[in-house]
Amino acid sequence: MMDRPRTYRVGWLKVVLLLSSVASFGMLLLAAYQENFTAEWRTHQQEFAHVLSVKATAANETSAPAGASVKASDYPIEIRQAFLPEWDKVDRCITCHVGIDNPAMQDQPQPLTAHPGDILQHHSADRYGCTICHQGQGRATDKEAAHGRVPFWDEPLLTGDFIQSTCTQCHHDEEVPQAPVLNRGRQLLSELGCVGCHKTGETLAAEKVGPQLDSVGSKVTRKWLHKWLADPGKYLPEHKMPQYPLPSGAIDGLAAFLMTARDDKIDNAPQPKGDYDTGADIYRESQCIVCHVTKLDYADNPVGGHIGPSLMKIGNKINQKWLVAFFQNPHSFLPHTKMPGYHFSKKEAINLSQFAIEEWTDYDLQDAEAEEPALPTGTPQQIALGKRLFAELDCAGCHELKGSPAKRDAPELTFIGSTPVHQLTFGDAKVPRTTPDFLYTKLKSPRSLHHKFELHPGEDPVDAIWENLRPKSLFSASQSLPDGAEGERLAWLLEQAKKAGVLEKQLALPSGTTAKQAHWLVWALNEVGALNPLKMPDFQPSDQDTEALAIALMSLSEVGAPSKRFDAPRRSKTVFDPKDEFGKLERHYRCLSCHKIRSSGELLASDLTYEGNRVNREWLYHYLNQPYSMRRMLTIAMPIFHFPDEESRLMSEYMANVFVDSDLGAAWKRNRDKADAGRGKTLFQAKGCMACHQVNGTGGDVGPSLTTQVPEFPHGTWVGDKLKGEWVYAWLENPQAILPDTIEPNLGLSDQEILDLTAFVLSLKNPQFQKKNNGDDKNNGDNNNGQVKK
Amino acid sequence: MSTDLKSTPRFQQPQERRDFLGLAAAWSAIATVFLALLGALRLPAPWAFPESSRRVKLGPVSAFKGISITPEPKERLWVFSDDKGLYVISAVCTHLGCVVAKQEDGSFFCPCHGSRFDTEGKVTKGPAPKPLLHLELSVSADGQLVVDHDKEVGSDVRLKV
Amino acid sequence: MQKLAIGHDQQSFVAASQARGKKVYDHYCEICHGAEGQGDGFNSAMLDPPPRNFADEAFWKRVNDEQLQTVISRGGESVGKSVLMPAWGRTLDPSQITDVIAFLRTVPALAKKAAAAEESEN
Repeated sequence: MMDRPRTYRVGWLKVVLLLSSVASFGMLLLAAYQENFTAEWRTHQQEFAHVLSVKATAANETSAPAGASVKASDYPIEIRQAFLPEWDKVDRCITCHVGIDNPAMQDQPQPLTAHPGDILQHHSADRYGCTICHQGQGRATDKEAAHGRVPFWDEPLLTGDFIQSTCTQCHHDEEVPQAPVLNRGRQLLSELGCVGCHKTGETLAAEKVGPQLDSVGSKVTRKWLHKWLADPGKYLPEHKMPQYPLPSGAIDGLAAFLMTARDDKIDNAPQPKGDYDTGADIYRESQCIVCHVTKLDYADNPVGGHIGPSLMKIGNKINQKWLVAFFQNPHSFLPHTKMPGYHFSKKEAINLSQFAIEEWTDYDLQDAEAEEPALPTGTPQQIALGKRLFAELDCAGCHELKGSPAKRDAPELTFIGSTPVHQLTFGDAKVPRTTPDFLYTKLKSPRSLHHKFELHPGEDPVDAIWENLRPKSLFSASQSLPDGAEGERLAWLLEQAKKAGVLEKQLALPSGTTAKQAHWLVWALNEVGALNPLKMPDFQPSDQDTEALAIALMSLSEVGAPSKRFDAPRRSKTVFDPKDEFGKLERHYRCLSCHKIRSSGELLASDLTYEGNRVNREWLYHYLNQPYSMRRMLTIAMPIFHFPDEESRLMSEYMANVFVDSDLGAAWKRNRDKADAGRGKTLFQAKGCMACHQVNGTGGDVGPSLTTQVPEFPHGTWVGDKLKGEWVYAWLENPQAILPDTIEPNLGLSDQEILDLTAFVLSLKNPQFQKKNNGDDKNNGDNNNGQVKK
Repeated sequence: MSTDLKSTPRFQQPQERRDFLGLAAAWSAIATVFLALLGALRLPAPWAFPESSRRVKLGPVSAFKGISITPEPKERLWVFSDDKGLYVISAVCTHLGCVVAKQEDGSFFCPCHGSRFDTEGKVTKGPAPKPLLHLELSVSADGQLVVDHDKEVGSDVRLKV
Repeated sequence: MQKLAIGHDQQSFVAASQARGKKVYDHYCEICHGAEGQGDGFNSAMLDPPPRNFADEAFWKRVNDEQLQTVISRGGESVGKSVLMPAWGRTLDPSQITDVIAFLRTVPALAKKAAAAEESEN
């Protein structure tokens, strides 16, 4: 106790040691407690065990099957995992998402809830885990880390429809079942022409989406072309061509170049003069409205199809001489068009073009354009510049033009979905650094993901600006930088930019040092985007389309199943493209633009795959010559093609013999003598068929009337005159098996009921027509195996 | 001073504030290090090892009902169904772990050393020391048949479905 | 990008179910029951008795999900109602019907909102 000061010093250290030890001890204890007793997943599992026991008690009270009694304490609280050695994955997601495969947990909140839908029935959680489809960090057991929303984890949990992007690891078909958004995105990648400039591997077909430009100079007016290149949306709000941010000098050049792509035959033809009214008749017969917007309704909404472009202002755009040539042979101008070849004579083509030009001209616009000064013809320099620009922007990625092959030199997208995030250029954009965010933003506003051009100290500002000015063709080839004082060179740069239409004419360099001037010039050029190297145009996709596209791009990934074993079987895709006479006719009339045959074609009109099973060939022959609408409320029907007789005969014969599946409705052929039309009639009432189908004027209008009347049609048009029993039988048995999207419900009828109903349907024959053809058994519906009458 | 301390151990002296402080500081430091060590020692033994689960889903129960024998080669077992319910016999020989073959008459034969088992898996001929294992079956919440490779049951146990 | 941060909570699952249900409804049911579920579809004029109006709140007090599941999957006939409502049980799977019901439950609220919007316009 004598040397108090000394012990005091020791005590001070002791206090520090004590306090720090107690603090660390406490922290360790707390950490141990948290990690071992109150971990998030433990809480979830305890809650789950509680829910299980509550549910089991409830089930026992309602005398559910024995063995369902569960005590909460029986449920082991432990880390649960799916182990996928081949995928090198350990998914502990089911440690928190414990109810994922328990259908009884559907009513529970996350994370205890059951997986929605029936997808786990085919992809069980213990065989496929979770992160193959959902991504995230499977080994982690706390929420943020497991969901992958932590630094340096490149694959955060996919949200919403983005999950569909991972289906393609095992499902290699172009169309992935149950992934509609992915399919839509892939379709958009082709439709928008992305594949014209970007290589994307083998999944997507690369076909040029824009029109062929070989005769564009004879087709359109110079004024239209200028306006179109500057802002396509002004002429056609639903335009497909994206907008390129081009300065006026570039537009002048491109237009001058494109106007040189001419067809002398068209140019030298006399100015056509046709008859508007005759043209209008041809327009109606040809059913142009099925594919094109051809009029506006009372509220100025466009009416017509969207397969072809809107025709509303073509009079302001197209040269009538070109239109005449086009109508006579559309496929020589647009080889990949969906537009059918019609049998227009020159005179008909002239009449139709007369109608088209007169009907679809915006006369206000025409008057306004007439007052604008005429555009000067392109100078040789402009034409040369246009050709360079056409190559630089790779217009040939979408448009065929003789002498201008596509480069396809845009960044390759084959594995864009698995590109490490740090390799993606986000620029100065403020978006989360993830692949989905990158793709979404890039598609929504391509120019936002970009580092602003800046002058670096030590480099010559004039050289740097000159090097980076875009589009390059405008600035590189014809001129070269002059030597001289820096101020003079900067002024020269500004002059060039003004000449090219990049900067406004009235701009001038600010007074001051050259450094200040250079800085100002960079700012001005940055403002108009002239220093942005990006060539990608702005497609302005809707939010929905952007998401679909981003999902499709995410699916282009190097990551795949570790072994072929996991590959989903490819569904066979039978492309219908016969090399015979019928194939020739199909390619001319482009039947597949509206009809479906096996897996080819579109479902705008009927599916012809089983047409031979479905209809009597004689009815078909007459229908081809004189098509009519199947529904009372619709005026739209198949166009009248005026098939030559031998063609309609060949097509009806071919369909009757080739588009046949002998198994379809085979039960009808075996058992038709057991069918009773009387019982069928009662059934027709009892099953409520008349809710949708009319018979003799009573009933609904959802499906086609069974007793359609078409005056002047040389064959019966009632259902019994038209359809064959085998098809009716198969249809009633399971409509969705024939047409997956049909809204005719599958009523689950017994075999006998189907037989009776089929007999009743076939008994509905037009009595007037029957009288006319009295005694001609070739027309007795189902028994019709006779040849088509000549 | 020092001799005083030597002759009289510190803890026999009446407790004084600074000594208590020193002891507490030392002990808490030791305890902290011990706890930290404990945590560090636990590191190589995590909660769960990445390994295959021994409880395996075989498929929907309905797929096994009414079918007398369903082989599951991947899991090395057979699922049997009789009028009392479902049961499982492992195909792993209890001798040295070869996979036994099922004979026409329903008995089992091990190709490695010639052990024979009757239809219930009981040994009829050596060298196998034990009958073939009957494994525990259960039904998961989503209606799948689950076999637990770690749980042996008696040969008369059946899963009622 | 807020848009991409779609939650995984219960509410968004219900919303997703309703959205799926709306799609199914638009494809199969709308032609009779109407775009807004008020029993005024294009084909309703042809039907006697007319299709159910789902905006009717009294109706929702009478029925539960199970009954609706039965009517939709087994047709009007199965509960002694009109045969004009066909059985959809073999065309739609149970989860699709669940989705449709989830959507139908939103109809009265939607109808009220639409009515209120109309009123404020007038």
